[in-house]
Amino acid sequence: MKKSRIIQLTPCITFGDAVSNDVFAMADVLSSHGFENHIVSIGIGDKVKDRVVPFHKFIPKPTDIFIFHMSIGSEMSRYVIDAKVKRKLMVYHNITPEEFYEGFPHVQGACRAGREELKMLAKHIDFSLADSDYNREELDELGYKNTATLPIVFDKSEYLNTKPSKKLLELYGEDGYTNILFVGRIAPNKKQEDVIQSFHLYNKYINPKSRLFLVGSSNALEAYKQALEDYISANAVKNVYFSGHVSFSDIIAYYTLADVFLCESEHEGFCVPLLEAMTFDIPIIAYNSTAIPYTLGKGGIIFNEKDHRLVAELINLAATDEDLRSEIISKQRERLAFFDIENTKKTFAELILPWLD
Amino acid sequence: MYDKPEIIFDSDKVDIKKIMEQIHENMKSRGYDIDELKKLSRPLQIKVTKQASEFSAPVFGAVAGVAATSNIKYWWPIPPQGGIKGRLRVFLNKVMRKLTYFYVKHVFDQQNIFNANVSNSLSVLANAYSELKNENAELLMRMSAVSNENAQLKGLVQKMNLEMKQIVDNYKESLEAGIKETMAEYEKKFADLENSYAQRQNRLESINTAVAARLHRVEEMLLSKNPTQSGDALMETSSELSPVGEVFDTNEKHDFDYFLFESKFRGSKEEIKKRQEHYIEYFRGRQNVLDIGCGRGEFLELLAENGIKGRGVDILPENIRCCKEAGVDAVLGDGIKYLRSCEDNSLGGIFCAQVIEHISTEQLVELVRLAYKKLEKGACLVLETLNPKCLMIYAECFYLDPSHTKPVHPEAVKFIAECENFVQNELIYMTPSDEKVRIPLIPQHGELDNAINTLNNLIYGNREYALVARK
Repeated sequence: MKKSRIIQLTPCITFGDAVSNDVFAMADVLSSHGFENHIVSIGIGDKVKDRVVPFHKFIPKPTDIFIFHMSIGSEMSRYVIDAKVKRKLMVYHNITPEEFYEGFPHVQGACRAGREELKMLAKHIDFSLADSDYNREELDELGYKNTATLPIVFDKSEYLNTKPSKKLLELYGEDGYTNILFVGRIAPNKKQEDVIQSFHLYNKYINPKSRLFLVGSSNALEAYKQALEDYISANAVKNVYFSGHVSFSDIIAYYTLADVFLCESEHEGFCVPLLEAMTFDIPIIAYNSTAIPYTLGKGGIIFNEKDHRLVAELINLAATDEDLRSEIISKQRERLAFFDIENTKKTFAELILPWLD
Repeated sequence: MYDKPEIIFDSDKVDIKKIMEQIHENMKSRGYDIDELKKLSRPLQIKVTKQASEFSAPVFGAVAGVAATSNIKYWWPIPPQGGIKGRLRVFLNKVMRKLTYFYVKHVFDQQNIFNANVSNSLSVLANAYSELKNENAELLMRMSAVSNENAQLKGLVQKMNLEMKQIVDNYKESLEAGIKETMAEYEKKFADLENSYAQRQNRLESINTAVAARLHRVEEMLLSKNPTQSGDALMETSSELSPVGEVFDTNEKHDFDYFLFESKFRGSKEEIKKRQEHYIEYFRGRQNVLDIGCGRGEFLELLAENGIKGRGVDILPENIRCCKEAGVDAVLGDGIKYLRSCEDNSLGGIFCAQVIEHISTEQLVELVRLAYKKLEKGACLVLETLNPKCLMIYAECFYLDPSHTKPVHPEAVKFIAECENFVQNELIYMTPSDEKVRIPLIPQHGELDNAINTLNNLIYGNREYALVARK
């Protein structure tokens, strides 16, 4: 019997973000198992447009199997619900709760719609994969049948094989400063203001020779970034650097420069930067929230309350206590091995193949 | 009460409790400013207005820029300067400002009113722009949904087209198969009918033959009982031909019904006439032509049609009756005997077709000798018979007729004519076999082709020939 076509649908796809990487990695696995498969998307980045079929040009067949990547509200959800195809599978990357985007109606609306659509989809999806146990629990609560956890596809070799930006290394490297890093979109759910606050106490009361790099673009959320800058100037916080939108080699440079990775995000579906920090042996200090404990496992230090003085002390210890530092790094290495790309691809194949007959 | 740990770090090598103690000790010694901590903990002030949504940010920024610079200050600040020269410059500037103030104020006031109006207008326009932009975004989303629906519909139509084509194809296929089947059935029935028709035709012919034979016998029986209707009555005399008394003895009995046989196998009168037409040229301009073995009188009719006077002689009374019915002159009797009775040098020509294969060599020689004697000078004797050089005649016709005695070779009959003093003796070969029955040649096989040609001519050559001998 002829194999079904596998169609991966995602509202947006571009080069380099976590969901897009996941989609392309899955496409590779499907192709390696001899499946005809296509990626269909609405918002398509220039770099990937050759590999993606625009949504408006896509014509489904009744024998198709859909794999829908759910991460935000879009007209695609309704389409997946209505589509008459052989089977509908979903990969859930989580949707940020709308309350984080108060004052940003366009983002808030998409998040709200996403949550509504997620509820509606439950009845129509035959099998779902979640990036993390946290995401899977959400699906189970909404009444999804047949759920499983599959970590996001993460290829550490891409990071290790890329040379760091020389300019950044010359600017900030080897100058005796302790560099604190957080990587993630400048967005309200990531709580960069808390990172700034913890850093400020560390910088002012413990180690003035320190910097904070906030790496990530603030696209469409400029007002939030402005508020962070206002906060910095109102509280005379020193040495905070916003990277803005950066190249991949810049990101590598920031990881190379960093001494401690600090994450105070309050909503994450998986949090790929934690794996990136592990790749570069940077001790992680993170707030206990959503999928973060799943991703960290036994690697990194997790704090339960946002007592910024405590966090400042943790930064200090992670940066200076060699025993603690090496213990954290060794635990992180163990955890990173769990997310080995070949492992993940193999697990994906094992989980998904029974649904593709 | 359960006390939630402050941090989670699962390790055998590091003593977390000790670390936490150290941390708390350190925290106490840092000397934190409580007011500062309170200030730091204040929620972030995100300044987002409805208008300043991300889509319209640049426009609102520009409008805000206009508003901020719309009010022109005519009492401009003069910064202090050091040194005696500097202070003197500042003093002079201030004097100038004071002196010009009253003049520029009026102009600047008007300008500021205009600026305020412009700024307000821009603000109104920016709001309208923002609303339009939002509407546009919504429209774009709807359009995307519509185009998606359209794509789905297109897919559906394509699918329906394919299904329709499939249905039509299936129907066409079954229809064609049905037609084919029916046609084959009808063809078979038609062939059966044809077969049965041929069988019936054959049977009918046999019945015809049998009926005709019986009828003939009945006629003969009647004739034998009533001598006035006998063969003698058919014998006629002619002033020119005067064969009386020497004609063939008609009381000879034939067990084999030759007239019936000939009627069946010789062919129709029209066919015979067509076959014999070409002989007319040998008799043109002549009179008193004798047709020996004239049969149903086909050649006599041809002669009459060409204004040539002729008479026939035949051994069968039925043939003579046929000739009478056709209105041509014929007498019952043996040809040689009749010829003997004719006056010497009196005949304008002698025609004798399909006779010599029925008689002996002696009779043939006598026939030729008598002919020479009876013909006028320059007149022709035509002897037509089956060609023994064509082997097919034995299979098809020579032995079909039980009254044939032996075939006559053309060279033999020519030799006889020559011996009997005929001067011009010409052999004409006729009735070639059908090309289709000939063995086909094999191209580029010269020797084999020659052999095939020889064989073809031997088996499928001309079936008849005629000797035309002129006195």
